[in-house]
Amino acid sequence: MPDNMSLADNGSPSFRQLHAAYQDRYSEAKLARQSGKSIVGYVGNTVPVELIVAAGCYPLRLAPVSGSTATADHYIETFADIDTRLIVEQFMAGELDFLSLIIIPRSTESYHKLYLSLREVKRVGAASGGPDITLYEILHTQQRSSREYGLARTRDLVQRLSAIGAAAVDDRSLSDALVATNQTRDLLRRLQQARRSAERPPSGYAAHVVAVAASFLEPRSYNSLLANWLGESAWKTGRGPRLLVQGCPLEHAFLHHSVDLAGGLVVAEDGDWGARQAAPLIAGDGDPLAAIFEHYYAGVPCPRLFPHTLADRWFAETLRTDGIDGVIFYLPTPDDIYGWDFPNQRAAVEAVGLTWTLIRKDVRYPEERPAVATQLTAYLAALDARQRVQASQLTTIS
Amino acid sequence: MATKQLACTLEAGKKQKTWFAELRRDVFEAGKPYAIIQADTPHDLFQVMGVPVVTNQWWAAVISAKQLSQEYLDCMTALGYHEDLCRYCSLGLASTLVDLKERAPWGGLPKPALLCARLTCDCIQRIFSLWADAFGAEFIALEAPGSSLLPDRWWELSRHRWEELSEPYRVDLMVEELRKLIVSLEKLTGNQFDMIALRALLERVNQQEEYFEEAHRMIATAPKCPVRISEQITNVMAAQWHRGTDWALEHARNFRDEIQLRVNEGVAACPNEKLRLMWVGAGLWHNAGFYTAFEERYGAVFVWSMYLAFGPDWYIRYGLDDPLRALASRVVTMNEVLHNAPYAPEWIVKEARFNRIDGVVLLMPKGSRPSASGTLFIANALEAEGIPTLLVEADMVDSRGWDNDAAERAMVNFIEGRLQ
Repeated sequence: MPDNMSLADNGSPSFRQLHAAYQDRYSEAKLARQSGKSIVGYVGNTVPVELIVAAGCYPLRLAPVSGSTATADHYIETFADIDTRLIVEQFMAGELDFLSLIIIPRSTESYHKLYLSLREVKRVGAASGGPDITLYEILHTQQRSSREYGLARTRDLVQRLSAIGAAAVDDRSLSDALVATNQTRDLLRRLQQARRSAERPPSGYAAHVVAVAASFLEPRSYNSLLANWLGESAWKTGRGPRLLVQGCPLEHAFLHHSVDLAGGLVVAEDGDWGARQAAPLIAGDGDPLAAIFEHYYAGVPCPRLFPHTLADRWFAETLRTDGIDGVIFYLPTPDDIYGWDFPNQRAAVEAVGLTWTLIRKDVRYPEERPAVATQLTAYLAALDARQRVQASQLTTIS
Repeated sequence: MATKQLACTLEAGKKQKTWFAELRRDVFEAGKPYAIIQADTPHDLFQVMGVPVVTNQWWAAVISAKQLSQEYLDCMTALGYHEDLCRYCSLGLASTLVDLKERAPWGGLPKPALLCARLTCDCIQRIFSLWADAFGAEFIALEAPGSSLLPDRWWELSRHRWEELSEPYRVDLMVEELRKLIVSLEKLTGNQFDMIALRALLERVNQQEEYFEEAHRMIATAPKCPVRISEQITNVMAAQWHRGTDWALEHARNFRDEIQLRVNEGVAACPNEKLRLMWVGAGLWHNAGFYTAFEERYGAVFVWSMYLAFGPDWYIRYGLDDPLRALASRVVTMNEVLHNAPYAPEWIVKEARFNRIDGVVLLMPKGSRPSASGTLFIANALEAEGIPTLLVEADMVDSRGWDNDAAERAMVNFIEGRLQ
């Protein structure tokens, strides 16, 4: 992935490795494949990676950010989400042939269409070979029938993974996998604490890069690198008004970098990348499979989580915490989901006395970044002026 | 717009207006409950339980045909809902959030007792939650699990082998969801659900769709098309929204008979017919005149839309020993066969062949991405069969982006360049 940004770090070896995984997302998995390991690709944040790890496979999230879509454009409409177009392109070009399986969850309509599209390009002969594809039917309506349905489909997935992996998936292997992934969550929680600290928070860019990299490395390798990086605390300190990002998933750190350059600091993001990866730990006692399923069914951010009040809870609570100075709503074209939440979320932001800015450009594209930079600079200047006025009012009152 | 040629069409239009006026009167004056529901939900259960329904997509079409979509959608933008959001499913919500007072179509929607939708696209739960909140009404959400089976030639399975087509575990889930919906409807009405009544209704639905199948066959095989698609749609959908009722059954039969008469007498919708066109996608509700714009100059007649053909191939369920299960099998796969590969491309190609289609116009509504995704697979499949296909980027209800001159130029180029 082309990314000419500065490392936003003081040269820590751990950060360089994390940054390398962030940029070249398949490289470590391909190395593991050369060593004979089965690689299981997946999309989204609702596929239980613990099952993949328990089967002795390498879990690799497919989240391309840029590249050509020339071949895929013959089959996939250009207004489809860019990540799905890129994945179809890679699939058709044979770039995903190193995977043993691709798991696609029914957690967004976009991914459902991706599943159908991959099947169809195979069926019509537009792609030869390629890994097997499976639809993981996890639903997210919080009712008994949906829960039971999803748990049954999760047991089906266990059978599928046991057949391709090096190990049988059982309670013991699941518990072992949970130790590793819970450690990841705990380390990401520590990262999040560092981001919210008053003393030396890392830049938004650096923090997001290391969080995103979690999806492209084996959990234990990632844990080691992140623990080292957190222990070193060698990062450049982030500065400026502290911002919360709401909106479309950010599988890249271009927005964070733009905010850094404009003099702000992103300290948290709603959605499936970043702050919320530090989700609650999964209880290891009892039935591990049921606990793992429950986590992905109801405990992680997902656009199909219903009722919607559950999905909104994290944002509402975070708004009320100290240390948030403003909110960036990030809803670039072709968003047709998160924008439905914007008017109510905007009202929630204003109700707690904060200001917001709405970005509709896609910062992944270099040509759109100057306009975003201008908007962010203006927003941060207004925020800074507002804070100075508020500070003077407080001084007057005191 | 072309003059209506069928007596049935006038009757269907009159029925919808009368029915809606009665609904408003019943709700406002008698306090009776009604529901707002999506097109792909089980209308049949509401029918059996005596709860009138307004179908969201039908209401959107009414708004659009009355040229009010622009005003409603502009107001939605002003409220903060950006312009890339889906319009087809949200125009009804707009008509509730934005008060046009006496200009509201047909007096506007009264407050429903409940809303019901399948969670197909990710926007649906948001739109219907906002709508339910605005009305202070209950929203019942039905899951939309995906299919992993995706067999070839689905229409050969749907009537008798529907359990196999729909995947038993998905049908199990939908049956459970329908049972919960029934409980809600029982609470709402005080009526007890009657399985025998449901079976009888589904049998009448089968009969209704059989009439449509006969009509479909006559239109496909007559030397020239006896009825334009705008009139096909009006008649078919009026009956579908009331499906299984005495009125719907009688109307479907009358529609069939009127077509039979026209075929017997050699009456063509457009005597000048030279080219047979297929319209793939939802109706162009804000500009139905587009369908007849190329008849006089080119003899190009739109003879096919999904609304008539889809009825018999999808609604019919034979083997009603367990009517709830049969209904669940229909509900659980509804959108898949209309939009998703491989179902949609295979079916459209089959229909194009059967209807002797010369060219296809394929709607690509960017403002309703889930409906639009999959259109390239359909276009590719048609072209691979040697059937010229024109993609038209337009929204079915939002007239704001519609450039009629550009669309007509594209059609002229298509006809002159590829069909003549």
